[in-house]
Amino acid sequence: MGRLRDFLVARGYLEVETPLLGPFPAPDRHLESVPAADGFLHTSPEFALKRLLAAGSGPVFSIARAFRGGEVGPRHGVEFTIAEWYRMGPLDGLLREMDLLLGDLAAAPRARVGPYAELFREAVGVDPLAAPADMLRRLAEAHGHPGPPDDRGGALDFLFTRLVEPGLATGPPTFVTRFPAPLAALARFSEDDPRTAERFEVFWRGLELANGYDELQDPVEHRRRFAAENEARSRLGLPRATPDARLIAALEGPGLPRCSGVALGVDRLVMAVLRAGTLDEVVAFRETTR
Amino acid sequence: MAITYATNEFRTGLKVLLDGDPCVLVRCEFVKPGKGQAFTRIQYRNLKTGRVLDKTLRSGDKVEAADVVDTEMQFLYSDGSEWHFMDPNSYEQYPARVEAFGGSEKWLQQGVHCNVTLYNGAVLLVSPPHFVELQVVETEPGIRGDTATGGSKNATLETGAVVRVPLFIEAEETLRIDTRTGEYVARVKR
Repeated sequence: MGRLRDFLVARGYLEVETPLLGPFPAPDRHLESVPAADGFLHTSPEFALKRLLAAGSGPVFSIARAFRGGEVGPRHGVEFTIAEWYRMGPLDGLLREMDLLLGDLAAAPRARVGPYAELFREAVGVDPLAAPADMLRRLAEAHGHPGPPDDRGGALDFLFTRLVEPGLATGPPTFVTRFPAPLAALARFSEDDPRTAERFEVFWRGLELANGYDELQDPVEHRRRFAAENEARSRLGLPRATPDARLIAALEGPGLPRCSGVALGVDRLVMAVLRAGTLDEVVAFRETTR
Repeated sequence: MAITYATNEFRTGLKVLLDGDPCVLVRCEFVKPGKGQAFTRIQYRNLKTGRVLDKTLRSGDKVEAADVVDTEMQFLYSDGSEWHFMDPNSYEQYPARVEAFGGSEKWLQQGVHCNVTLYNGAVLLVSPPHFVELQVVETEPGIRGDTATGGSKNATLETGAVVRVPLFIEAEETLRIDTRTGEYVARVKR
C-alpha cells in the first residue's frame, strides 16, 4: 500500500480523503449501497473525487475502504480496500501508467491489450457488438444463465464471465478495452464507433483487478444513464437510487475536465501477487455481520 | 410452509431440493463482475442418483430445503431384499433397500451403528462407520516369498465381504477395515 501511494505521489497525484458516509446510494443497478446513519456508505470514492476534479483539483487519488452489500465470497468482501485515481486526458495515458504500476508493484510482465469484441469473438464465437440481443440471451441460457438475462448487457456480462475470463487466467495481465456500449457505465462512447465505450478492465491470474474509464463529461448523458439504471432497478424489483445532486451540479457548473480514472481492488492485487486463491489468505480480518 | 435457503445462506453440506430431488451442496462460489449481476455457482450431489452436477443461480434466489435428517441407527438384520434398522431412541424400525448403500452393505454386522439419512421419513442413504472390525472366516494359507501378488491374498470376512490382506493373516483373526476404501488397515487382538 505504501508503494502504491509512493508510485502515485511520484507521478504528481494529490492524495485526498473523501467521506465514507453520504446521503446518496450508488446508481448502478448491481451495486448495493450499505445503509448507515440515515445515509449510505460509499461503494467507491468516484463521485467525491469527480466533484474535486470539477472544482479544479488536478490529478487526485484516494485509497479507502469501500462497502458493497451482499458481496461475500472467496474473492469478495462487503468491506474492501479500493484505490482510485484520475489523471487529465484520454485513456491511453492511464493504460500505459497502469502497465508501469503492475510492473513496478507486482513485478508483472508487460500487459497485453485486447479489445472486448475480439476476445469475445474468439471465446464465444459471436460478435458482441452485432449479434441480436435475442441470440445473446439464448446463448447465455444455454451456458447456464438462470432464466433469461435482464438485457443485452446482462447476457454479455454472463457470457464474458463464463467463457472469456477463464482464458485470461494465465499469462501476463490483460487490459480488456473498448467495452460494448450497454456496459459503458460512466465511460464516454468511442469517437470512431458508438457501439463501444472507452472503458477498460484489468484481468490477471484469474482476477478482475481494476476498472477504468475515459470519463463521461456530458451532464445530460449522465442524467440519461442514471435514469436507465433506475428503470432497470424498477424492473428488477430493487429500490430506486436518487442521483447524487452535488455531482450533477458539479457536472453542470464548472464541469468535469477531460480526464480518465481507474479503480483498483487492492486486496485483489495482493491476491494476484501472492497467487492466493481466496481473500482469507491475504487479509487479516474477515468480519461477518450475519 | 416449506423452509427455504437464500443463496447467501448456502454452505457446503447444506441439503436442498434441486430438480425435485434431495441434494447436498458440495461447493458454492459467489461470482460477480465489478459492475455486473451477482451469481452463485454451485456444485451439488444428487443424493438419489449420486451424480455431481453444476448449476448457476441468481444471488438472492431461494431454494427449498430438503427434509433430510441424519440419524444414528442400529442395524438389526437383513432378509435379503431389505436391511432393517432401528432408531435407538424411538425404537422405530426403518427398512432400507440395497440402493441406499452404494455397495457398503457388505460391511454391516448385526448391531452395528450406522448413520442413516432419512428423506421424507424414508431411508435414503446408509453410511456404515468409517472403520469396522470383522473376523476372517476363510483365507488360503500364506506362501512365504511370494511377491508376485504384491504380498497379498484374498480373505473372506464374516459378512461375506472379500478384502485383500497381507500374507500373514490367518482364518479367525479379526481385522480392522476402512469402509470408505474397502481396504485392510490392521489386525485387532480380541
